[in-house]
Formats: sequence, C-alpha cells, structure tokens
Amino acid sequence: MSSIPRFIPRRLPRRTLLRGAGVALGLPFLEAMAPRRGRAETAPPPRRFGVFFSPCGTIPESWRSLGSERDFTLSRILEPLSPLQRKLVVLRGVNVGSAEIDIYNRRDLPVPNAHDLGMTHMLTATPARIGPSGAGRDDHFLDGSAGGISIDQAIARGIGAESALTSLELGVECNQTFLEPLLTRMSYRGPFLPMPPIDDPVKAYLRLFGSPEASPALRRAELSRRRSVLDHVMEEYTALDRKLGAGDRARLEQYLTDLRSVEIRLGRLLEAPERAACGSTDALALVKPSLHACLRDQELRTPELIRAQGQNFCVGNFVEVGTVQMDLLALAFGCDLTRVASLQWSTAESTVRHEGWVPLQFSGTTEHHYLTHNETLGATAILGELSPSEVNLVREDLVQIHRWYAEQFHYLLSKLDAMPEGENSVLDNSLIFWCNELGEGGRHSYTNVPYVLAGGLGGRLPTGRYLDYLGDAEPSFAGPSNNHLFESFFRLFDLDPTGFGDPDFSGELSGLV
Amino acid sequence: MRVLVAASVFGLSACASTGTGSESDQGIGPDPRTAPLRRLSSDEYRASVQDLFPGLALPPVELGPDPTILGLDSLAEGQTSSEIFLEALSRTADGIAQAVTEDPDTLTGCDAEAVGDVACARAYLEDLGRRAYRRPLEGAELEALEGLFASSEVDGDYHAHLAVAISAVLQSPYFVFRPELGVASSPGEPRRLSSHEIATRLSYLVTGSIPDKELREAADRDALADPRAVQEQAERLLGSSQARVHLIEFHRAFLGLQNVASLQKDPEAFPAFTPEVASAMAEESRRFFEELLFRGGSYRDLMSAPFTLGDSEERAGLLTQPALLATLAKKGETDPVRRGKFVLERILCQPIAAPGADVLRRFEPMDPGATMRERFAAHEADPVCAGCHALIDPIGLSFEHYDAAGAYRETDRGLPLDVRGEVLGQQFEGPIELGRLLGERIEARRCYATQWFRLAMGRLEVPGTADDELLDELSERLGPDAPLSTVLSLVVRSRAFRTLPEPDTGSDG
Repeated sequence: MSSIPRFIPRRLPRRTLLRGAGVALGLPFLEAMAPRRGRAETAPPPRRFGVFFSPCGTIPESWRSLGSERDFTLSRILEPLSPLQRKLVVLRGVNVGSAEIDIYNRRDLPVPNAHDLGMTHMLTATPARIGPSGAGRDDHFLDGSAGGISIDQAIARGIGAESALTSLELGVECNQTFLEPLLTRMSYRGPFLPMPPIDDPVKAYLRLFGSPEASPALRRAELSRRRSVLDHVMEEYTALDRKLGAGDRARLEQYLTDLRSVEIRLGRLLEAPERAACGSTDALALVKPSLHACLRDQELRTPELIRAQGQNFCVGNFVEVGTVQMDLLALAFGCDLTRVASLQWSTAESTVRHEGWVPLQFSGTTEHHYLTHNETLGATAILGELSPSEVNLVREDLVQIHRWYAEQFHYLLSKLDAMPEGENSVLDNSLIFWCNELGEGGRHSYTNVPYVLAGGLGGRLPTGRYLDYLGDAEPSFAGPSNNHLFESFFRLFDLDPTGFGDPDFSGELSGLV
Repeated sequence: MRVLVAASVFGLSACASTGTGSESDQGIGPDPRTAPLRRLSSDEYRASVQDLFPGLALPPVELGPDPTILGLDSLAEGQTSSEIFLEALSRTADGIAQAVTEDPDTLTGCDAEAVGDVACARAYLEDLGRRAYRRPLEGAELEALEGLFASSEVDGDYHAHLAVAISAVLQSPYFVFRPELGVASSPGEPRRLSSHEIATRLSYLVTGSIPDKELREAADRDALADPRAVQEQAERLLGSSQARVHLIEFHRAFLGLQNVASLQKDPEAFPAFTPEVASAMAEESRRFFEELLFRGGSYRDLMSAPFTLGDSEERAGLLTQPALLATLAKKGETDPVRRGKFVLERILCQPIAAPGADVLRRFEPMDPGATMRERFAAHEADPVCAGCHALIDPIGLSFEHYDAAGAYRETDRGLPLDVRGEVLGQQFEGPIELGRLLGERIEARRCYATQWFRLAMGRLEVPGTADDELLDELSERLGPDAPLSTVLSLVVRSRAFRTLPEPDTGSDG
C-alpha cells in the first residue's frame, strides 16, 4: 500500500499567498498538510464525500456532451472541466423521479412549488413534509422540511465519526431570510432537521480552526474549559427535558443530541489537537486579506451593519466569498477535519444577479431565477415581451452562468487534486457530486437533471466516463432516478442503503460502478 | 407532460383551497402545539444580554439567521437545533463572559478579602441567574454553578473562573428557552402560567427582552395572576425605550419592510434612487410606526393618516408609504401582483396560491408599450388565471400612480392610468381610498390583531380552534378609532395568554 506522509509542522513553509499560487500549489506545503495517519502506515486513505450545488436547472442542449462512454467531448457548459475530464463521470438523463410522484400524491397542496420539491428531493429522494404553518408565497412551505435524511448526512452517519467534524456545510449567499426554508436547505439529518450552511467565511474559519491567534496551550485550555461548561449545560437540558410535555421534549432532545455531538468533537480535538492545528496558520494566510481583517475586527460586526450590508459585509461579493469557501472546504478535507462536506451556491430559485463576473448580454441586473422564466418564448415574460433573438440572448446568458459554475467546480476539484495523498490526490480519494434542484430551468422540470461526479473514491469508481441514459430520446420519467445514484453511493462507501429514499426507486444506477 | 395536465386540473381550485391551515390530522409534519417551547431569537438574545449587563459594550451576538415565518423570526416552528447554532452560542457566551469579567465596574460590591471568593461568586451568580432565568434559582442550580466556578478544569484567576460560570448561565436552556410549566389552578380549570412565566411572556412580547426590575418584583410577589395587573404592566412597559425599538421592528417585520434601506433600483430608470434615499425612506417608515404606536394612533390612522415627510395629497396611510411601494416593485417597473398579494396576505391575512410553473406558461408575451392594466387584461380572458387574478389585479393595479421607486406619477410613460379597483366587494379608486376603506373594515383589523397574536403566542393561529374566538373578540373590540395598543392590552388579558393548554400526551407534568 501507499505510504502516507506524516504531518510535520516544522517543515511547513510560511507561504503567505496560497491563493496567488493558484492551482500550481507547492507540493511540500500540501504534503505537510496531508492528514496524519496515526495508525499503521498501511491504513487506507480516508474516503470523502462532497456535494457541490448550483441552482435553477440548465439549458439541456448546451449541457449535453457528445461521444461514447470512454471517448467524449465535454459540452460548452462543461468545457471548463476539460483539464480534469479523466477524473469525471458525467451523467445525462438521470431524473428526480420521487419529486414527480410527490406532486401527484399530495393532498395538502394542490400545486407545490417546483423549486421547493426539487431542492428537498435533490439529496433525499423522499416526499417533502409540510409543517404546521402550512404554505404561503407561491405555495412555498412556510416551515416545511425534507421528508428524510439526505445522502450526505447518511454517508456522514457512516463515516463521519472518523474525523473531528462529522460533516461541514458551507454556503454562498444562501441564508436570505426572505426565502422560505425549503429553498435554502438541501442537507437534512431527518424530517425537520435541516443542516444550515454557514455562508460567512469568518464563521466557517472559526468553526474549523478556532480563534486565529490561539497558541496550542491556550487552545487546549479553552477546549477543556468549554467541555466543563458543556457538561454543566447538558445536565440542565436533561433536567428541563424531564419536566416538559412530549412535543417540547422532542424539540429539546434535538438540542441535546447536538450538544453531545459538539462534546464528542471537543473530545476528539483534545485527544488530537494537532488535527485542528493542521493548516490553521496557513488557513489564515489562505483567506483573503479582507477576511483576515474581518477575523481581527470582529467587533465591527454590529447587528446594524450586518442588517444594512448583508451577512458577509466585510468579505466582498458572491465570487470572493465562494472562492474562500472552496479554499476552506479543500483545507478541511486536506487536514482531515471532516470527511463529508457540502457547498451550496445560492439557493433554489436563486436571486443572485451575476452581473460583473459573468459576461452577460441581455440583462445582467436580472436575477438568475427570473432569467430562467424567460428562456423560452411565451414563458412568464417577466422582462416584458421578448423577440426570438432576445430569447436567444437570455439563453446564452444562462449558458454563461452555468459555465461560470463549471469554472468554480473546476477550481474546487483542482485544489483537491493538488493535495497529494499517498500515491494519489485528495480528489482521487473523494467522491464529489455536482447537483442541481431542477433539470431544464425554463420548464422547471425534474427530468434530465445535470449531474457530474468527480474523483474515483480511491479507485472504486472508474472515472473519465460519460454515461448518457437519454441519448436522442425526449426526457421522461422512464429513465433512472437520483435515488438509484444514491444507492450506488451507499455501495461505494460500503454502507447499507436500507430505509433511505423512495422505495419505488430501489436498485443501483446501472453501469455506474 | 403529465405536469401540464395536473396544473390545469388543479389550477382552478388553487386559490380557494390553499391557506395557512395545517393538515396535521393526516400525520404530516409535527402537530401544532398550542403553546410550543420558544427559543430566544438572535435579536431577543442580544437584547436580553444587553439588559443583563447594562452599559457594557458587548462583543457581537450572532447566533445565525432565524428562519422567518410570514416575516416573523420568533415563532417556535421556525427555530431548529443545529451544531452550528450551539457552537455560535458557546462562542458568543464565552465572549460576553470575558467582556463582563474584564470590565472593572462589573464585579464591584463584594469584598472578596472579607467574605471569600466563593461567597462573592455565589452572590453574583444568584443575582445574574435570577435575572437570566427570569425566576429565582433553585438551590441545586446555584450549587451546580458554584461547582463550575470552582472547577479544577479551569486555569486562571478569580475572573477566569467566574467567566466560566457566567458563560454557562448564558448557554443555559433556562435562559435560551422560555420553558412554561405552569401551576395548578382551581379544579377543572387549565393550568395557569406562574407569575414569573407571565412576566417573561409579557416582557418578550412588549420589549423583546428580559423583565425589568419592576416586573420582576411583581412576579416575585406573585402579583401577576390578576389579569388587570398584567395589563397595567403591559401598558407601563409600552413606555420603555426597548418597547419602542422592538414593536417598530415587529411592524416592519410582518409588513416585510426590514430591507428597505438596502433596496436598489434600476439606475437608468431611477437615477434619483440612491442609498441615501432608500435610508431616508426606511427612516420615514420607522417614524410613521413610532408616531402611531406610541402616540395613540388607531387602525384608521394606520391606513389613512397623512405622513410627516411625504406631506402631499398623494400620500395617506401605510399603503402609500414610499418604503412600502418601492419594496413591492421590481427594479425597473411596478409589480401589481405583489402589491395586490401584499394587501390580501399581510393586510387581510388571505393567502393566495401562486400559479405553478405550468399555469405561468399559459401567458402570452405582453406588450411593453402598454399600461399594466392593458397587459393584465389577459388574466381576465383565461378562467384559469382569473381564478386568482380576479382578486389580486383589482387591488394591485389601483397602485399604478406610484412607480417602482415609490414616487407619484400622473401617467405611465404618457399613458393615462385607470386606478379603479375592488376589494371585499367594495369599489374604490387608488390606494388612498383603498386605505380609507380598509381602515373601516373588521376583516383588516382582525388581520392586524392576528399579527399581534402570533407575536404573543409564538405560533401561527390554528383555524377551527379556540384561536378563532379570541381573534374574533380582539377584532370586535379593536374599533377603528381605538389606539393600536388596545390589541396588546386585550391580548395580555386573554386566557390564551395566561393559561396553558391541556398537556400533550406523554407529559409527566
């Protein structure tokens, strides 16, 4: 088996500008950041699962790649991924079949919102649940939830205990309070147990590495102190829990469960403090100067400023936040701080305006979601009447937005690929899943959803492949479903899929593994 | 293409059958509890800590965004647990505890040399605990805190040890949640809330924070079993500066006006709409609510009072407020659908189902040269659209004299405007008349009372239950001329506010 480099802090070059080095990162640095394997040298490398979400469906013609399974040319939208094509499995013609069934079976809402259902089925393949508050704007569930555990959390349940954090959820502008909960959450531990993504890089940094200035001794003292407080608080929770009625007890017990997870994590950090230290100095160098300043100037973050300028007021824009989040995610994998992570760009029904970083011809000031309603003539005409040539411009703008997301996906993959791990890279030992809540954006369809897999999970998943389940046929629910894909994921991670997802779609995705 | 079929089948019925009513009897979602356990929202936590340590400059309190339900972030159903929340809470509490113990003015009043460290800490924690938990600490609770103070796990001096115990108080479920266990009342009667629990409900309702000294002392005397005493306290608290901030924010929240200051408009169409203008609009709106709420304004005033800043004859009442008009519009043009839906949903509490993706596809491209009313004529022609738009459009189109930036206009690009409309079976012309009309209607006052009910109870109303009677009574007693704060006085006297429902199954009391 491969030999795995040890973590040797002294040999970490004090590089100040990892970002500037881009993809061609210095290898010694990364090697030093590779996870420590405390046990036998022959221990297998960690397996990791990542989710990369981008919203609002796609333009199917421009997303479709051409060629055979082993010999194919990436489409215009996917073209930015070409340098890593041999590490991809591109899927075409996979549906979210459970969402379609959900629409027909509902009695609580005649026409549930398409984005709501798309987002909640995307990783769970389970009918959504409406909450006690019912539905509101555009039939969005006011306090609804996915109906079951999501694939990332199911995998985390299986493998998450091996690292400090069971899982890590990051986001980019995905906590806008005016959006309903189903649109803003994709990861769930179970019904009504969403995993909120952190979309502030400062908070993400603090969660991963703690205070930027703390010395190891201070850190240890702090961890020990925090654990004492935690024990005390948990006793109070337990005492209160006994006094409450059943409904409230269920609610409080969830907090207790989470406190236990926090406690377990503190314990792991106390046992192996160097894990948390891995990369922390360099994480600080890695983060953009603006974020660096934010970490120092926490006191600037008054509620008024945050309300006026948004959650991430001291870190630039969508692009900059996204880049830092990808850097942090790569670092968390590289340092083995977590084995399951997700990055959620915006939300379902995205309100992001991509003007300024995507070359847009028609209307850069229009929100991504609104653009999708105008991509075919005769749609909602939110922009007023569109001529056929204008419709083409809108569709081209959407292609550019999706291409931009492909560039971001490539950025993340190349970061992971630049971190050596044994004879391979961190990417090679991972499985990264790029997903979307819809298939065709304009039709808000659940068929032919754009999915890409990357990384071979230590050779278990053959890559450099294009699996087209649709060919020249029209998209239909006869095709395979995301639930099949997830069953294959379970097998790749040697986990049992029993109880996961919609039983109508059991079985693995044919031809994948 | 099954979707198309489904939409045309369901499209017609969508308006009538969608509401906020829950479907718990079918076993979907958790059962609505009539007194769900409430957690402090980020804003409530921040205000509470500020009141626990008055005058102290606090480190930032950010517990993460609370999901909102119909604009409100303090409803129990929107609050879920997560490791991220608990870690943020721990970090926040640690930071505050450190700031408190570093402050030379905090820990005065106890001579540690004379009475000893433990006795000083005990006195401090007992006082902090009773204010934070909003009730006196039980002996065992205080002992546990003392034990934590004396813990050998902590390195450092007296202040470091005290900081650990303070942090624990600030993370305690008795502080972060508002548990209501109640006390037994007469046989056959539901359990009533203890005076301390009533004080807590009341204080968070009116001020968004912990009870002040006077309220705390009234609770200690168990003087809040009498509804008149509760009402008196409510009216007294209304005069506090905390109430002013909290209740204005409450109105801005349920009306969806919290983001006015950061609104942006198409710079080519509205070059005058600068960030300064947006801030001024937000401030104007805030002052309007302040004036009405704290100077005896009535519901009729809310819907028709002249403005302080925008003082022309084109403005009267909430519905012509520039902040509202600019919020309920697109970047470059008006949005009659949103304006119509706002009146139905937020002023009349009548939710409207939106078209599914397939209903939307029935639309033909519209003529951008035409007025909105001309463009919207297509809704009438198609019965599937008309089902909902017959309600929305006559309201939304009546706002057309106010452009997307909230400014008044005589015409729309030179085209004359027809702003006649209809609501609740009554005809009107323009939003000023609409406001006057709604100011007299009990349906609108019932909706306004409903917003207060949600804030007071931490949940949405459940149709078909005793909530109906209470809301009916509130709206009947809130006359068009009564001060808006009448609702508050009535709510806090209600049985719902002062008693607990039958415990849900599994309770051991």
